[in-house]
Amino acid sequence: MPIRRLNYTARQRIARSDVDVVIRGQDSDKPYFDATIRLSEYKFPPDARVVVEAYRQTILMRFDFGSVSVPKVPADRHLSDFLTVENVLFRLKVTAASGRPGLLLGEAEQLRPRLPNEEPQRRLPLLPVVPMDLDQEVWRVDFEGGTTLLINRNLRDWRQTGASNAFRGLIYPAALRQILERVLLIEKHSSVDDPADWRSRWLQFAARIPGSGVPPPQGASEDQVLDWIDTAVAAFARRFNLHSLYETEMAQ
Amino acid sequence: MELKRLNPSGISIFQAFLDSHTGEDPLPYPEAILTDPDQTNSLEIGVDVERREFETRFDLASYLHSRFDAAGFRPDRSDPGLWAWLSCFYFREICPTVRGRLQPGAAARWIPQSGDFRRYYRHLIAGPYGIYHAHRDAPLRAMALLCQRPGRPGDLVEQLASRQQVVTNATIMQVATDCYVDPKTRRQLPSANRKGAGGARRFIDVLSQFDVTWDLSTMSPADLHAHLGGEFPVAA
Repeated sequence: MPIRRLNYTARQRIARSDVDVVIRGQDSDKPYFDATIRLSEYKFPPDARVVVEAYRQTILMRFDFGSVSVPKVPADRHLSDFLTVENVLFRLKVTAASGRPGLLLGEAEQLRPRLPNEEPQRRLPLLPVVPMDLDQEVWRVDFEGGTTLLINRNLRDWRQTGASNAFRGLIYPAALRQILERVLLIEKHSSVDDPADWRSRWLQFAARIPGSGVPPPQGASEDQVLDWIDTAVAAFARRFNLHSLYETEMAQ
Repeated sequence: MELKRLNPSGISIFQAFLDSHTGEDPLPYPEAILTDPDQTNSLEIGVDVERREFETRFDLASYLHSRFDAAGFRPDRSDPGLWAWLSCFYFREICPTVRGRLQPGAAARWIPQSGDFRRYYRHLIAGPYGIYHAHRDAPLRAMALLCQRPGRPGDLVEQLASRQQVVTNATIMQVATDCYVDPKTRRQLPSANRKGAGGARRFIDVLSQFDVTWDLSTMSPADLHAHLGGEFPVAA
């Protein structure tokens, strides 16, 4: 049975709105990033270390941004280990330098950088849409470090397709069902307590939909779990009028 | 032979060859596509690779790393044509057999899943190469993920390589190698496959809890061993 990830040390979740990562020179052979980090509200120890990590697959680059009281922007912020910066994500870590060195005091995960002309992202989307070459598949849910809705980038207009009511009506209930089955049946995760854990966030999301009710407790039978998922998906479709929107769009 | 990329037509032929092994009438090995200008594209830089046997994923990755380095070639791990060419080239050397019959398994082991480069590690060549490259300063530390036979990576690789924060972390990789690889034979220990205490799945579960508390990148292997305690002994 998977272990519940318990936050014994009161690690703080750093809000996404307090970290803004911008990729510059994306089309050049030397892309780099700028990070704006706001930590004054968090009451971290002044000597706590601040580190930004850029990562994708087996590539990880760490950048030392000094300490909470004496921030230091590293001169070299080039993402030189990445052949392209496509799908590179960032995380911010604040760790203790004294007392228990290495103790994680605060963290912001899965930060998607933006381009200079894009608006900062204030909230972590539960299901960001990412275009990918999916061969003959139109869409797929990816579970690496969270949930991502992959959409085939070779569709005539993947942005328009992804935003269409027909696509939403067909895909989103299926994706929600797949995600809840993954969380409850495969990962056997039933906690809604950890807002940093994507599985808890999905259970929170589903439980808040009017008509879906509380998620089944740990140890519930598979039938009970499947019944709750059916109820939650039906409530989701009702909440967003997916059938009506689908019909309206297809009639046009 | 000069390394190339399979083009979409070449990939289709290789895919059909792989698919045919799920039936009773497997197609012959499509060797000709490796050099056929209609099925391949040349690289920007000339890289030569030779056909040879590899005992482990480490040997395979080390060999390719040295060939690429020598040529000044930096491979794109999201380049399906390149990795499909390499896996087609080495197919006969690394494909597992069961009772004399080739068992290539899922196509993703040979042809990178289109664009899905989060699952890179399942590819039998791009996977070990990426891990070796990530630890190129001291690749032996990643033996836990590289000591297996090229065609049979197994559950330890699936458990560890599928987690980005694990596979990129030098401390975790060293500790996994200390726990799961026999230092004398450099072979994987059976304890890695245990379902319960001490096994790789439990190792990941415990690390997931530590990860909430510690920045594991700042921890030394000795510190992490101390935190893990007796459940994960260092292999003697």
